[in-house]
Amino acid sequence: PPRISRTHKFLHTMGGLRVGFVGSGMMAEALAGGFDASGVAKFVDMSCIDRNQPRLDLFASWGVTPRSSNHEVAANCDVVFIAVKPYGVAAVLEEMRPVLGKDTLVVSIAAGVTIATMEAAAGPGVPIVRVMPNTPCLVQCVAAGMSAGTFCGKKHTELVSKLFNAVGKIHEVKETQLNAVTGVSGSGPAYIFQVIEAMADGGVLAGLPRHIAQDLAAQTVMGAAKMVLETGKHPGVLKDGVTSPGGTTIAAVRVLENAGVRAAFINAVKAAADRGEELAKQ
Amino acid sequence: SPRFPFDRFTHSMGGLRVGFVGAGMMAEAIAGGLDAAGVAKFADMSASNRTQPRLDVFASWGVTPRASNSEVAQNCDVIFISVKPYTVAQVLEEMRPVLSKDTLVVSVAAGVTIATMEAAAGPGVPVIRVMPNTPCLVGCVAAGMAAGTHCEPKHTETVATLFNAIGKIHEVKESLLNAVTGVSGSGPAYIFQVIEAMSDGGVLAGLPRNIATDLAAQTVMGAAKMVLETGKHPGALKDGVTSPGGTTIAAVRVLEENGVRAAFISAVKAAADRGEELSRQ
Repeated sequence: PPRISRTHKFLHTMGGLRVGFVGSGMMAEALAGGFDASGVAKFVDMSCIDRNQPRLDLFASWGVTPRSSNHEVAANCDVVFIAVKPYGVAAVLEEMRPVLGKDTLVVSIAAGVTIATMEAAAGPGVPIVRVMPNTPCLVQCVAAGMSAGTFCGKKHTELVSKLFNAVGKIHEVKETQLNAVTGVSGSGPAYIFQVIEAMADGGVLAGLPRHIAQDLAAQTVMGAAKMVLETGKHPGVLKDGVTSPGGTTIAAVRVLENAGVRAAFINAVKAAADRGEELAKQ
Repeated sequence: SPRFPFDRFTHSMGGLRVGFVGAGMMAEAIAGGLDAAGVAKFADMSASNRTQPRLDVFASWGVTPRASNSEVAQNCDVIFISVKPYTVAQVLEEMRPVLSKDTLVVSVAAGVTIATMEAAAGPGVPVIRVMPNTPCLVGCVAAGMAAGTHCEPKHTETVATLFNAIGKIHEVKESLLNAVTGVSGSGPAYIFQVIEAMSDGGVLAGLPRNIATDLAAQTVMGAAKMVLETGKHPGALKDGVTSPGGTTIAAVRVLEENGVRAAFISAVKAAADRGEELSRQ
């Protein structure tokens, strides 16, 4: 069937947006599921490809069309997610080059693969958006950054925003800032897994059974973050609001401050960002 | 109409009459959350408060404003005591004549013991003490509860059903509520500090403040959600995201060198210990 002008797809309703996944792993699964659940794109309008048949079968079980080649995915989609391992991205884009053009938006979620690398592989005129997502994409709560390639217009970044806002949050930044994004949100979940484990340990030290301590710790962390996001208040103001005079909370805050915890987090974020920059130069 | 407390507690939650003595922010959050989740409806709720404006707010949702605390008790199956801790005993003494084994009293006041409340409320009154936390305000509470002398399973089950509609709650011995305070009662403050610091790190690395804070908070929320929803050990989750020689393990090393985990263990213990001190005063 003739291809309808892509500008309509991007500017009008999201109904019928055709999304493709080259690589159908856990991240692709989370994205596809999130898009369909929120309605921004439906399984029935999606295509996928993967080296592993079981993954294709899984996607097919939801109504996604399994394709036999990367070319076929690109030919049938408006937006193509490149969700293969970083070292495979350039090769995949080179392979797809003959069928890519200005009408197919390429979105890469591969850590560390630059726009320059991808544009060289995909060929001139192909709009590419580079996204740095994070693991909580798997539970529909992603925190991501994105950078637009040379051939992108507003409609491209708006589309990617709309898609990712269905599964969490995304911010557009300059490509050079994606390392900073890595430091905060890309690597960030690990810092919080450590915090939750430690809070649970503290609860156990104070007498709680482990499973209760851990459940309360994780729930508390989630709720506190939700308060920052939903109240829009400065974290310091929220902290002031819960530290009653001579109470339990300020006693604990003192311990964290004496131990320089906030400095440690600042340095941890910077260390991850710096390592990201080192890796990009390799 | 006749009251059927046994039916109310053991059968469906439909029609459960919930009351709030004290119509402040926590009561608002609980009432709103319960109604939104459908486990109790505004139309079946009552509230009393010293000042009219708060009663008007509750009334605007369909809650029946009552002229006295006793009137709330007479019209409810479950009564939340959500006044300031230093007035809880007094309020219960006032309500004593209308409290009985058929009215479940649920206190959300930090530090007020079951013994204090049972002495004030009188013999036979089932009392449950809850240690909630601030994120109750965004429908995401983490709480602990301890059951009084006159409680039966139907009482704790009712409170569990109510709080599980707006977050999570665990039943513990009363002596462990200080530990609960250390983890979930005071815990949100620790995380506000972490989010601010991660945001500072993002700004140091070159991000605009608003983006850094938003990404930090969203990351914290997502990571916690992963622990809750995958059921995996936090250490296993950490292993899963630390690729060889990558950015994440570089950051984890910094946190470990600075003894961050030890600091959190000590912080939780400090809050729990302070809670115990305060309860002895």
